[in-house]
Amino acid sequence: MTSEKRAVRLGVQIAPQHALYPKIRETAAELEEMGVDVLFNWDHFYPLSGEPDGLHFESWTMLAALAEQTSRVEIGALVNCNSYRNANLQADMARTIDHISAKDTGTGRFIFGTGSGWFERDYDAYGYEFGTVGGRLDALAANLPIIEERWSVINPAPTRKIPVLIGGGGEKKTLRIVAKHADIWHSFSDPATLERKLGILAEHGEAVGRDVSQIEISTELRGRTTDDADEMHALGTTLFTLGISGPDYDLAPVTDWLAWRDSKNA
Amino acid sequence: MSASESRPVRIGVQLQPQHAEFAQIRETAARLDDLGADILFNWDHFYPLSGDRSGLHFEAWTTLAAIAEQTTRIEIGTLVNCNSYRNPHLHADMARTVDHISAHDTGTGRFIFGIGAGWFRRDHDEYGYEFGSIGERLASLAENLPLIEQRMSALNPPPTRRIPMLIGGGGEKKTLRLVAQHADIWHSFSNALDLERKLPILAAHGEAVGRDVDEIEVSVELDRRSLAEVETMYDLGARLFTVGIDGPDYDLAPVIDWLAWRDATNS
Repeated sequence: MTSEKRAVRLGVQIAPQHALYPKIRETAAELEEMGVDVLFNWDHFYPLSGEPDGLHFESWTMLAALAEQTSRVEIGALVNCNSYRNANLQADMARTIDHISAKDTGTGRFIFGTGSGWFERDYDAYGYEFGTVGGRLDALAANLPIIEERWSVINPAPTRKIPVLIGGGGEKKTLRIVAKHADIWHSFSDPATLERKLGILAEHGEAVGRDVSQIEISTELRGRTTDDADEMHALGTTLFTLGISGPDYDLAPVTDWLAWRDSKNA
Repeated sequence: MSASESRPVRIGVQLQPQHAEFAQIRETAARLDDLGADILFNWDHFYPLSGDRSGLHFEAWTTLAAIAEQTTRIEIGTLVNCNSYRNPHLHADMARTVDHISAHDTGTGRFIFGIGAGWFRRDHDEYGYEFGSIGERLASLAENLPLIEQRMSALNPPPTRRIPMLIGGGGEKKTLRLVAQHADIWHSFSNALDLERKLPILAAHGEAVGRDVDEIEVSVELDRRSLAEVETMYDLGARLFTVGIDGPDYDLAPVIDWLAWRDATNS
């Protein structure tokens, strides 16, 4: 299986909340220096935890700045909300950040993480129609081919096949979309849930004619023990994500999980 | 002396995001920051506006965010952002985020929010936006500007400064009314004669909406203008002068000349 040959990677989600931008910038620099593989943020308009009206920044402009600031680490949203921007514009922004992040190497570092959206407050406050989860998933399914098509015609082309990460665990619709379009599938599953969903993902792969071993499995570490992580790794997860929040962005757990990553890859 | 007369001349350079690789854009931005240009603009389109129409082109806001991170002195913005392409609250949130990115450790941002109603049909058609009529696009801009202002005032953190609002366009009935209501900077591609006619129209709109239009910085494009005509526009009250440069070469010779003219005029 392809997944067994993949190295373990650690992505850190810098929650863009409860911190001013210089703190975010400094945290990104430290994480890159520490050897983290991917820097994620998220695509919301309000904090998801702590003070609901606390400090918060916009996702894509922050990612573009991080692309300019950093030189090695990959970057992306965990995840972008498909509802908030036109599909072709998303593709254009992704391709532009891909080029920004390439610096003089010729190869970009952008990962296009996307999902159907769920945080009703964002929609209501900014005037987007929230609709139903089914409707939002249908919109995601409709937009992914448009995004892929735009990447195939845009000039300049992306510097690499921009990896598409799809977030979500819905077994009927989301995992079908993952089987069709994702290079990386992300979820917040525990080991037992992951095992069940991987079986369902494989069935979707069979139905749409995709070898799902091509898909990198990504799972969140927060609240998990190293035993859980070992178990998820045995099931096929190779990208592990860890959320950290402002104002302090505690890096101690990042250090621990990097050591665990290195021991897995040794 | 009125506010407009006491304003110094400023030079804005529109670094057109076309026909160049990003590395050339980055290098040109660094040179403009070093040269002492006052503002670096780009534009908000999806295809080149001149030359090979399927040539290289990059997206506006992600480019600006990267330039905000890269540079330390120059102000930055779109000339102009298209109101049609993003939700107004999202526009405000992105503007405020780039404002904070651009502040670095100074505490004061360098972002200018340039906006207009949009006009380039190909962008709309290809990316799947409804083009509608010019009247509809202006009505949408009129509706969105208060939402943007409202969002700016509600965001946490707030912008590091009152983000200057630049409105582009010369339409005498609708656009200049919006300028009188909302703009800190009014930009147009007017020649001296047009400017002379439009400024009193702007003043009349100001009177109608109760705004002292002397507060509004007047911006005009330098491309293809003679020095004599530029000085006439200066005498009429223009203080921000923009010059477009095109990829892949981004010839800075005209920028250097206009910076010298700026310095002579301000001395």
